[in-house]
Amino acid sequence: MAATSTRTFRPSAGQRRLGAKLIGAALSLAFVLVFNFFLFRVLPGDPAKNLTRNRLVPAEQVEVLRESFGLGKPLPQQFAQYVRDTLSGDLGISYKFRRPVSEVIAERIWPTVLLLGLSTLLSTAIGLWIGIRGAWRRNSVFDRVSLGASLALYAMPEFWLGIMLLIAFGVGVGPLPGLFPTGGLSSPDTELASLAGVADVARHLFLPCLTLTLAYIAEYALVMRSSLLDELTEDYLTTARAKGLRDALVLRRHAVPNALLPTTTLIFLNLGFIVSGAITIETVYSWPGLGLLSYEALRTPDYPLLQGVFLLFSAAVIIANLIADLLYAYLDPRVRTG
Amino acid sequence: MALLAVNDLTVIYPARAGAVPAVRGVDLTLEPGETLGLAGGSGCGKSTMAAAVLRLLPPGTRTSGTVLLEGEDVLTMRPGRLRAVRWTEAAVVFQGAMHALNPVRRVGDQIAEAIHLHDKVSDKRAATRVGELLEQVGLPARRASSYPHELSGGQRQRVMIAMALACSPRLLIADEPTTALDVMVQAQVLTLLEELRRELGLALLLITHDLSVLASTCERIAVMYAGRIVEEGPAAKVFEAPAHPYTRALAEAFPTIGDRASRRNPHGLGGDPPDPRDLPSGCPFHPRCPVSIAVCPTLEVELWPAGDGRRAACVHVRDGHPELVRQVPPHPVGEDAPAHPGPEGSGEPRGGAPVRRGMS
Repeated sequence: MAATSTRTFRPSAGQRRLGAKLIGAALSLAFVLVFNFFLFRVLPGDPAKNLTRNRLVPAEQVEVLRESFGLGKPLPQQFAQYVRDTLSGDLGISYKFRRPVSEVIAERIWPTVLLLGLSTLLSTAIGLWIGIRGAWRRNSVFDRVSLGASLALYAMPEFWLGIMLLIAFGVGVGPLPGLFPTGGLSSPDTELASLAGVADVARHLFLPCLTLTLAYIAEYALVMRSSLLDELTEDYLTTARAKGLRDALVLRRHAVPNALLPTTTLIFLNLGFIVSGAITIETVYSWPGLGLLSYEALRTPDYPLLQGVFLLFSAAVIIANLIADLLYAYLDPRVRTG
Repeated sequence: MALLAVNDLTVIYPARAGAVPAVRGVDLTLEPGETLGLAGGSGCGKSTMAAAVLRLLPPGTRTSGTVLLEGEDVLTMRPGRLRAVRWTEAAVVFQGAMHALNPVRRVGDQIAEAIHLHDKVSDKRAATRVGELLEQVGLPARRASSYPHELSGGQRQRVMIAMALACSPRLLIADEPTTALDVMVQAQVLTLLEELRRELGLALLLITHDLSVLASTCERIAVMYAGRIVEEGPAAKVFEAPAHPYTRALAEAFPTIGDRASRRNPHGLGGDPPDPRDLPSGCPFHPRCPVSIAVCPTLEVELWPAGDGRRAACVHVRDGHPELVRQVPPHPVGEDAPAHPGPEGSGEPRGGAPVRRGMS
């Protein structure tokens, strides 16, 4: 016993690094928690008044409403209550839905996960493929066309792209009928758990997913292309060719893995921006996910719901960053020891 | 049959500003087990020569002439045959101290990759072979699991040599194998190359700008300038009694260790290497030549016999006065002697006045 008690825990460089990253992520989350609370308190508008707008409600009743939301107490007390509740998993009651925020979020999280997950996968796979092909066949017709298209797409605001696609394929232009539904997750009369239901959701998903995918393909293609072009001038690729490797293998085994390093970081950092993209795209297509929910919450304004959604978004971004950091260390041995 | 026979090789790189002729009609032969040093300044085409032997030239490069490796022309080989020849008949020791190794793969895997590519062996056999190769170049076998950044420059260069030996080639091309290494490590790497060459009976084509390195390692030396060989012959003769003024400048650019006078007063060469797109007329070296004469700007030089089994592309050699190349002191680099005494390309000889008098 005595022997073990004197043996102190000595973390390795990797463990120290991991520990530092985890602590950093936790601190970021704590900061978001505090910031969220005050951010929504400085927003203009009295929720109790907004909820009773255009209705004849006696002043005492507004006061009762305000009291029931806990808004009557002084700010420090509200803050203490907020931190205690959040840490125990209670995000409060939504003003708008009159239900626990966690319940509302749980209902709306899956459409967003579906939309963002699918469009991230597609834009990553297609964008990287375009970038790799363009760099490998630099100045070919494929490279010129894809580079031009990528730059055009990259410059487009995503909500505008969404509206244009909505008009072209949802509403229909001139004699052309709309090919896809203009909004929502599914048609009202379909059974979601059936094959027809899945097809119906897929049809609804098509346009918002296409918009987000197009918006991000361009960036991945451009970054992958330039990263690979940098890598292609490296001497170790000449070594690989001299050893007798065919060009396709030189590319796949040596150039691409190295060129992927900066791109991987970008993809994960981008998850944060995709979340904000989801707010506009879900609003354009009335996709009932967290993006549309935050838009609805902002209009009320529904503080507890906004706080809940923002906390979730922030946590997603922080975790994505953490994964990017750890993944980079896994992929690049120079970072691991450094 | 010569192991390597380069005949009238011309290599022209594509470039936006106009094609760049990097090598302009070079002949070389290398017999099995022989060592040949290829020397020259930056941009003289010596590394292009190394790349051409395994046809490692960028796309769009134009070549003419032949590069016969064991009798087969590398420049016209089918791609499949070329890949089979690479590393098995000739391997290149690149400047491994810097970027010739993939930074994110273990060095053992990079060596094993070459083995797997040319031999059908199990992973275990390949790993054993990697260990042997590393020990052969003086590294412990466990280094196989290191990444390049965990090794010193000298160790990386050793790994590069081990990699080159992986498929037992008969010809080793070492392209600036000691650049960016400190002097002690340079000597170790050169000794290692020399030992391996003797043990394994390899032919060695050693390419460097450092003439003194070649003098101590190679039997024969060829000196290149502006894409052509300007002097060729037995190493000791070329180094001690250059028959071409450029060789002389190259030999004297390195101070003799222990010789105070040469250290205090290093000799250099004025001017810049010529632009291969726009070479001076006649002998391309004439604008920088300390012993050029009136005929040089219009003279088509070729390799003339210079005695002692040597050949040199200098008018003085043609005229039977190779000693004139050595007589005139080249200009010391220093404040008293401006690097550009005359307009570039004017052909104004520097310190060459006595020679001119003597010749005219």
